[in-house]
Amino acid sequence: MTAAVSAHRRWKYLPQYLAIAPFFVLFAIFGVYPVGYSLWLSLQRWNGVSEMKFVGLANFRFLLTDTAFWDAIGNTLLIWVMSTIPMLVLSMLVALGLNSSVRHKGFLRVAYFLPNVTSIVAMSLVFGSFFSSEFGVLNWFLGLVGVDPVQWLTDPWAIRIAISLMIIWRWTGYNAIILLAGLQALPQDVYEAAKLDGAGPVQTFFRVTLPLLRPVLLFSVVMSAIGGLQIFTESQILLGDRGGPEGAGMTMVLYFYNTAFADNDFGYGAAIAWGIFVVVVLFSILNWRLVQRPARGGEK
Amino acid sequence: MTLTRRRFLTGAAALGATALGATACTSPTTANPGKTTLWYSTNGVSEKVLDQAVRRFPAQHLTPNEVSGELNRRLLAALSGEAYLPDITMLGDGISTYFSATDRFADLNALGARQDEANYLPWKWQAGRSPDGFQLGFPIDTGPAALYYRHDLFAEAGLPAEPDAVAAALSTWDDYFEFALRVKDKLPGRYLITDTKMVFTYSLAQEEQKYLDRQNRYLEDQSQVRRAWDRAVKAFRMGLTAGYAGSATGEGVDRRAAWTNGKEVAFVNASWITGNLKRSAPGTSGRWHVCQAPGGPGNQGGSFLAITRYCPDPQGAYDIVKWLMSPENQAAAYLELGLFPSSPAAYSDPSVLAPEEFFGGQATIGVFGAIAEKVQPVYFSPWDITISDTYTDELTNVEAAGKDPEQAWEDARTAVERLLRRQGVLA
Amino acid sequence: MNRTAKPGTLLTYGAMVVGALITLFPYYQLAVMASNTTADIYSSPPTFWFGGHLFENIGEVFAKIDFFGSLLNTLVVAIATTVLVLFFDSLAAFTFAKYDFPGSNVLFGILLATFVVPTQLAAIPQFDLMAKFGLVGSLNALIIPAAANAFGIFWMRQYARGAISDEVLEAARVDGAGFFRTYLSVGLPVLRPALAFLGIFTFVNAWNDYLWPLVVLIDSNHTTLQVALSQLNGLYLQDYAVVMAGTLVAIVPLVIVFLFGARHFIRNIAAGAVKG
Repeated sequence: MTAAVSAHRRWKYLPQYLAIAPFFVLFAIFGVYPVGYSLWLSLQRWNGVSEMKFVGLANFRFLLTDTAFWDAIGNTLLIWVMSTIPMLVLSMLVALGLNSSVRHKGFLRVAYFLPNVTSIVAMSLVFGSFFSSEFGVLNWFLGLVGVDPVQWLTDPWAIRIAISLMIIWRWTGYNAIILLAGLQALPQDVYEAAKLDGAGPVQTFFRVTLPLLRPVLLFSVVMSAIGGLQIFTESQILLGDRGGPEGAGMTMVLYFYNTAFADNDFGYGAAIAWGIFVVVVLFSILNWRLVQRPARGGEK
Repeated sequence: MTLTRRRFLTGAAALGATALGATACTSPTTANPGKTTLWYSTNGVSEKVLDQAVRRFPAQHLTPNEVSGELNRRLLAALSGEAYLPDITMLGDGISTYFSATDRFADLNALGARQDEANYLPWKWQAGRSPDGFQLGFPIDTGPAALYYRHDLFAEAGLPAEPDAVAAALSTWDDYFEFALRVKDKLPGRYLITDTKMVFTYSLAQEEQKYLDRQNRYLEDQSQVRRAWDRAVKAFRMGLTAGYAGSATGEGVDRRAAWTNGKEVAFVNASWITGNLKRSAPGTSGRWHVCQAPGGPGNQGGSFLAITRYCPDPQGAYDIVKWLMSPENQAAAYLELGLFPSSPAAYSDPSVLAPEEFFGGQATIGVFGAIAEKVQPVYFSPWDITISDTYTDELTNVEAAGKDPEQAWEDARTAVERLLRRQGVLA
Repeated sequence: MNRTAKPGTLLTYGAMVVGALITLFPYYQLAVMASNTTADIYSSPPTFWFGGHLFENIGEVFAKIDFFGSLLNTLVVAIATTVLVLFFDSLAAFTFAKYDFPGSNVLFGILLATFVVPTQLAAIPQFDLMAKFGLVGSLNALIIPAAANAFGIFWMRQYARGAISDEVLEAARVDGAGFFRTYLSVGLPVLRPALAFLGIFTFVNAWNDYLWPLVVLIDSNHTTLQVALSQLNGLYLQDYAVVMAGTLVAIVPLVIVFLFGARHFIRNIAAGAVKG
């Protein structure tokens, strides 16, 4: 009898299971299967056309001692920090500006947001010309204010700054819009209380606004981390598959792409993919703990 | 944005049906079924000759397709996906990569290549043949390397400007470096050396061996690599390298700007750069000369045409290949793009002996022909490109990031050996 | 100008406008480069004003790459992906938000966990899968894997939880409406603003996708705009003005789409972050 009931119960929910099925079916095919396949591939030596050769864990042994891979991890995190911090500060300023009583808000919002929807490939090509040491406008502007020309695409630090600039340009508006929504959702009575206490605008910002905005700021950080770990297009278009001098523009995903699809080393490429996976999981756990902590504190 | 429910559902249903319907028909094996698709990279085959071939072989429906610099990546992807494959494809000097996959190609010997072999340079013909005798590639061009220089600017600076005089003054790399120093004094801000990669690549091209032998064994003696490395470092230390952004990948736009505005007054390169130079800096026409490169004759690059197994009409494809690479057409490709003929009969074609406008009236075949005659064939292994990239990456670190040259050398050696161990070449 | 504006407001306004102009400068300079000759672009000091070669350069682009074919392909991929995502994601989100069925929490947990799998890294096995399905080089190789995604379901569920009231669902049930009918008549209308946002978001992402199309669309005559653009860069590095003209014509369609939907999009993108 119980069996009949549970069978009935199961059929009862069939529409719901069908409704959520497409995602899970697609994920099984294009998510789960690739995971298994790449695990198997990472144990092979394969150039894409010849016979595969089983090499056991050799690819992973190489990966652990591969300085280029470790450098790519460090570099990716470095570029992420170099782009995220200025980007958040700028976003905050833009959000505050949009939240004040300036005119033409509609136009400003669209102007700041536009970079986010324009193709990275296209804009990387445009920025590539800005960074040129022969005819670039950036060095020309710097020359106007008396700064020596910078070798944007050959000096390792300049390369990292160049990539960061492109990321900042792309994401400032996006995050400003999100922070703006956060600002608009803040309760007004807190501000009135602060005013009564005689707090100035700067004090109010750091003591009241910023703490209240914390969840929204964390959302921005988490989202930028997800994107930041996957930086690829800017580097590939600006510097080519090998990441430029000192591998300054070599990110994890570019290293993967270069190994697998430029050097045709698919087995090792799969091993690198797994290495990146581990980094992303560790980083996500870190992020998750960062986000969870204030929530727990808030429930006290 | 008004999105009514009905409109949404109708649209969704229609698109879902289209997507499912499209799923039923799979991708074609060759890129243009019923036609003969030919893949070539930029400036790799003469487009004028290709246009003529399209008209000459109407039955084959020749469809040329320019695939930029990433032809190799696309070909591997098409081969492993068995879809959108070319019928005929260009292969670069990394042709040996495909020797382990000859089952994907047509053996040209089965199509009559044996009769044509005698018309081409023997060493070049051999380079297109796998160790077990499978004729994979039909020769396009070879890459004799010469010194390209701006004779107008040399003359302006009161230096020798005629090819023989320049060649006589610059017989060794050290001569060249000293000369470059003098030019730097007289013409500040101009360069005769693109980057350390140029010195390394063309110095190594003058050696009798590179990295691996014909049996794909890592050479015990790598002193030739070290010689080329030291020369590159020396040029950098003397402050002679321009080091344009992206020049390490050959894709930099800054170097093209430098050609256009006269900042790069000379450089060493194989003859196939001519097409690129002409198209990038048309305004400098008439101001260039070529002469023998410092350090002696050397060969860098040169390509092949191959026919894939998936081509339904290999004999028809072979007829096209043979015609494209006939001595007359190779002569035309030489004059247009500097693709140095792999067929010696083309050297005496009257058209190539005429003065060339772009080179200020010089007939460049005299210079490149003399170099090509003295070139030693050198084996090019499947890993040569990655190995060279590893060395030149480290040289770029020295040049652009101030890395200690000894450290860079050690790192490059270690990386190369690790690569070869991973590939099973080294134990 | 508003006469009563305070100096502080004016200063803010000035800074905001300058910031916006800096943000928009790359677009302006792109148009400048696309309308000049390569020699003009290479000149120093740089050119900051339009030249008369725009149509000539664009003509070269059209001669070199199949621009309209790529545009059409990109449109097909972006529209098909968007419609499928909107349908599958909203249906799943509606279900997760409003129905409690055995395993729903576990399944939703699994869905969240899939965020961690970086999709780009599945490129090699996915390529192999597509080869097995015979879809290498086909637009379906882009559309099918992207037809439903965890982000959209998660985001829409957050929206649906607050937006769809239990009373209305109960009323629909009493009226004898089945599950799918309820979704159509109660769920979808309420989710419309969320659909508009997710729609533009998906469309923009599909339009701008680069790595996977680069890998899987191997026929250069049968590709998307982004890949065609990167090819143009490789093919035409010798004529930089043409590369810039190609870049310009490639971004114009999406900029227009965005300007039309901007208001909806910008409002809702923030709603997701603040509510979620």
